[in-house]
Amino acid sequence: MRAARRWRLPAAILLVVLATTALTVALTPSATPDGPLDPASTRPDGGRAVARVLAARGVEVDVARDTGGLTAALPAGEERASTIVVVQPSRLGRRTAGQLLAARDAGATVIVVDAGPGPLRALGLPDTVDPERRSDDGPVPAACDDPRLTGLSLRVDGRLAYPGPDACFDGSLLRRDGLTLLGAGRLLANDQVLRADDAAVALRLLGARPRLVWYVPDVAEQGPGDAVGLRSLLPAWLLPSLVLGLLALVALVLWRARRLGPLVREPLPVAVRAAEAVEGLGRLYQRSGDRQHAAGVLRAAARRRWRERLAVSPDADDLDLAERVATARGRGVDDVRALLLDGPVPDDRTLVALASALTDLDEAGDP
Amino acid sequence: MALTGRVPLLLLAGVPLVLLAPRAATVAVWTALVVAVTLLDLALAPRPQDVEIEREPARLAPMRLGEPTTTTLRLRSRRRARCLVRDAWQPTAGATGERHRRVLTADVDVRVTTDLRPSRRGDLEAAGVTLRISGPLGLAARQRTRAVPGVVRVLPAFPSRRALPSRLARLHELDGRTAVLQRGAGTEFDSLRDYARGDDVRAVDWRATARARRPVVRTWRPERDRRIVLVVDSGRTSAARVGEAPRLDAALDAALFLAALAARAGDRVDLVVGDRTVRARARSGRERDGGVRRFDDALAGVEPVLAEADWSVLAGAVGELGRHRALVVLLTALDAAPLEEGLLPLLPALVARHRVVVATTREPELRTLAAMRTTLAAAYAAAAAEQALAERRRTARLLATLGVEVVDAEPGDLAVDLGDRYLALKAAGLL
Repeated sequence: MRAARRWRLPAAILLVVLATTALTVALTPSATPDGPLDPASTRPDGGRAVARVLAARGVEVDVARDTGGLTAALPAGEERASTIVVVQPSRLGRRTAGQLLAARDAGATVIVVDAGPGPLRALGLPDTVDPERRSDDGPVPAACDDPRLTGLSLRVDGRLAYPGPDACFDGSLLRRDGLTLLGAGRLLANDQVLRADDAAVALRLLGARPRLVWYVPDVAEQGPGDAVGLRSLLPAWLLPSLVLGLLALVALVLWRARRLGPLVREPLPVAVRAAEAVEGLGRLYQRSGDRQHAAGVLRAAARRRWRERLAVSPDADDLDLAERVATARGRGVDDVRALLLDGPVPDDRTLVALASALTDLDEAGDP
Repeated sequence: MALTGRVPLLLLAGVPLVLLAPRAATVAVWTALVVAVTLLDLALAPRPQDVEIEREPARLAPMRLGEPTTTTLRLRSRRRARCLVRDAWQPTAGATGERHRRVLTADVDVRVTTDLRPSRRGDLEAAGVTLRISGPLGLAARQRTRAVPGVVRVLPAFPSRRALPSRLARLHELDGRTAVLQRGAGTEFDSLRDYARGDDVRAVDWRATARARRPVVRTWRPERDRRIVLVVDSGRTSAARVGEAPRLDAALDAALFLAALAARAGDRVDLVVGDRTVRARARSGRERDGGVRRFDDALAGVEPVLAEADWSVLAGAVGELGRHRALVVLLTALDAAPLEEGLLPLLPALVARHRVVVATTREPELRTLAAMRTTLAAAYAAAAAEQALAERRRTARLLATLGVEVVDAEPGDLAVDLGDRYLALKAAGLL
């Protein structure tokens, strides 16, 4: 019972924390799409303004967010009446790209916004359309022979330019193989659509057909084959050079690993320090804690030395010896007796003190 | 075969090609080219088997431990060959500069010399000569290891030989030229000569004095042709390292010192080394140096054996040497247990026939251990050391009671102390 009570408080706290977390998660509104140029996003870089205006002008705007959505938004036969605008094309998967190309072949207008080299490759456009990043000080005039854009100019904070003789807006609008590449995607953004003639360009591009499919690709649609290989980003000579370097490394290893003749073995005689056994015996004494024995040995050794020094006859007993030592050293008889004669050694401290005191007695100068 | 450092360099030299034509094929072609050229180079390299190798001489001059020596190989090739030679010796031979890079011209002798500084006694052998001959391009090489016999006999260091001249001088003082010498059992009549101041009056030969009408003294000299038997224990206790070297080394040093001294004094010296069995024997001869050379040879290869010495075997070996009275010197350790169990029962018989001296090395570490007492561990170690010292003393006293003399000295002093004991016995005519 006591044990159960002890666990009650922590369990309650844990329960409350869990419940709070669950409630918070449940009540938090699901994340609204807020990617750049998302038709539902109201953030400065969102595209909701353009989408709303187009809808208000009678264009049927369908938003697709994955491959399935795209299929659903493009019923067969509707392609000729549809414009497909693809934002965030870097997420475009190979399969979806194929779907877009099929729609283009069926007559749909496909506008790809801000496509970099990766998406361009995915859409089967030759590498010759190499985008450059540009920023301008003023509005960029259309400067091309597209009748819908005559006299319009756009102004955005930064754009991609696909250089080509037939490009509009200094390269930011290019038609290739039935695809429209829009480099100035920001003209669709909520915060920039009102600059210059941006709104007009946006409406004329996206609102040309009765239906608009606004496709926001999902990252999840990318398959393993869609990863842009590191290999395509590296200079062509690097990989072969690395292989060659690796081969050179193997040759280096072969060179260094070849020994000049075998190792020579030799049996050697064993050598153990003679004092090692004595040191071991000392440790054994210490482990068994036999203070009395150790003290006895030290005292006996000291007594023997003093007998030799003072030439005490072997018959004299240890009490006499202690007296003579006391006289020779000029110390109290009781003091010397306590040192030299066997007495109790209660603890380790006493043993060390006794050992040092015996040495002092020995070394305090010859009598 | 063996590659050289040029192969990886050559492979790397293909990188500019790859820069020009960045394709996998470039790498493949270049690698294949390098491999082909390397194999061609290998094929063109002279064969190591065709090089004649000889060691000059195969058996090096004997030397003392701690001295340097050199060994020379003579190489002769029928074709010009760039080669790398390694003259490998067993590690304790201390070969340095054993690799030699040489260009062998056709049919010309080339000699390479390797320095040896052995760190161990005994016969040390060459392990083999490895020859690596590279091809004309220096890309690949043929390599082969061949056995080229070579052996150097490393004699005991014998550091105490520096003290030998002074002890020999003392031997000469004993020898006949003084009348101060006391007459004893082991002395023999030498000659008569005129009295000189300082001579003992008891040495005056009155009959000769009367005849010559001037004081004449008889001189005595220590008896020659006494027998000395040196018994070296190479058992377990001799393997223990005392100071720098095992106890056996100090014993060998002392044995050589005493042998040299006694041989010069005209005594016959026998040497027996053994543990469970007899490992080596030697006997002094009539040569000018008393045949000490043979002792060196006998002792060169002796190693400690990790088994208890069997004193009955060793005592038997002493008995085989003859029944004449001899000075028997036992070079062993003063360890209570092995000595009391093995040697002590045999001593009375030995002492009855011979004069026995036990010479042992004392561990200087024991005194250091006994004196250090500042910590608890040190105090216990001091107690253990005192215990060991007390046991040694007890064993020495036991030996003394049996009539055995004990020489207990630190490793560096054992030889000289033993020599002094011998001289004292000789002077007293007690041999």
